[in-house]
Amino acid sequence: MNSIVSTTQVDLIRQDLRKNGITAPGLESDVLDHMICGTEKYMSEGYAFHKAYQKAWYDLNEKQALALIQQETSQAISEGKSVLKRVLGYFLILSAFIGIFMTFTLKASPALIMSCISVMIFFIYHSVFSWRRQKSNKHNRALFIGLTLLPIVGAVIFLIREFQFYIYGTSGWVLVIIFIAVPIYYLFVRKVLTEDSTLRQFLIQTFQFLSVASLCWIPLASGLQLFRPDVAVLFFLDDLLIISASSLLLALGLQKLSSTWRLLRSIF
Amino acid sequence: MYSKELIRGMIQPIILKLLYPDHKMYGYEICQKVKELTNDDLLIREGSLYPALHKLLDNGLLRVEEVMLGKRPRRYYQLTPAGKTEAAAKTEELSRFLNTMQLFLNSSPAR
Repeated sequence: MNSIVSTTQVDLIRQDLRKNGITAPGLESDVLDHMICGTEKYMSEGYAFHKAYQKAWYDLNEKQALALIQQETSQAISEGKSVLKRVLGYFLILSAFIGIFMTFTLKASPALIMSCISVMIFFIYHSVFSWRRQKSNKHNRALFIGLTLLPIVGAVIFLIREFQFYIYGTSGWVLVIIFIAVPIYYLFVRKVLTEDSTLRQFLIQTFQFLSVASLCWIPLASGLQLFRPDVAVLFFLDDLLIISASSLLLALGLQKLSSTWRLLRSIF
Repeated sequence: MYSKELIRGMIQPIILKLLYPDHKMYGYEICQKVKELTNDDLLIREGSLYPALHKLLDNGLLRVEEVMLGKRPRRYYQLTPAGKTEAAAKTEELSRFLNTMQLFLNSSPAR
């Protein structure tokens, strides 16, 4: 008797897993393979597919066990996230929104609008889709395009059309560097900066430090402005906010991009 | 067969030890290997195995390689350099812990 599960049967098992609460892509692959192996073991003992599959389900105790695996896996992963990382995540979102708002109030340009849309997509992804772990293929294809193509288009438009007229100094260049760096990271640098790379850890620490330091400077600069109005330190306020937001974006990005990449690779 | 409570704390060291130093294994294979090595005394359930694997992965101690066998995916887990260091340390710690427990169990209670 054939003891190999057919592709149609693989689809059937996959659908059953999804119906029963296994949604995270990595975990779905793990449990799917596990169920298939279990089913094939019984098929090799002479059972027909449906009976073998039923017995494999039985080995898993009950269908509720699947939802429990999903829940416990999510919990096990979130336990590892330090409070600092969470605080930095929220801080990043807040400071980036402030930075973007200030940039818009000063001058809106097509390049900046496109760049900001990309940033929004990035934040929405990490704050909503990633944390809730509700990832469907359609969403992630759109996000992949948003994360890679829009920043490149935004940066190119900026460089071509506004290079000579751009007046915001540091913040503009930081934005351009960030929006070029993120897709470059996605496409190339991840091969060098592997998860356990010391350089990667060093960069994360540096970006976190830079972001906190630049944001801490703002109240100091405001205080200095109050007592010494002749010193024009507040002129750099928007620059500092954007440097802070950008650094945090990079720090957070370096921590999250590898898992995002694994996810995208499993889709394409 | 041992109780769930007893096994729970041992799952991560067991996984690390099985994969040490350069073994590649997938989830089902890990369950079967543990069963085989312990003469069916130690059964790791899926509900404990996969959360533990994903936690180790999230902590950077494991890396994963997904291959497609036709339409079915298979994820092979392997130790990262940090995972190898952790595996050596955990095995050492577990061994000391077992010795301590043995001493404790062999001792007579204080009167």
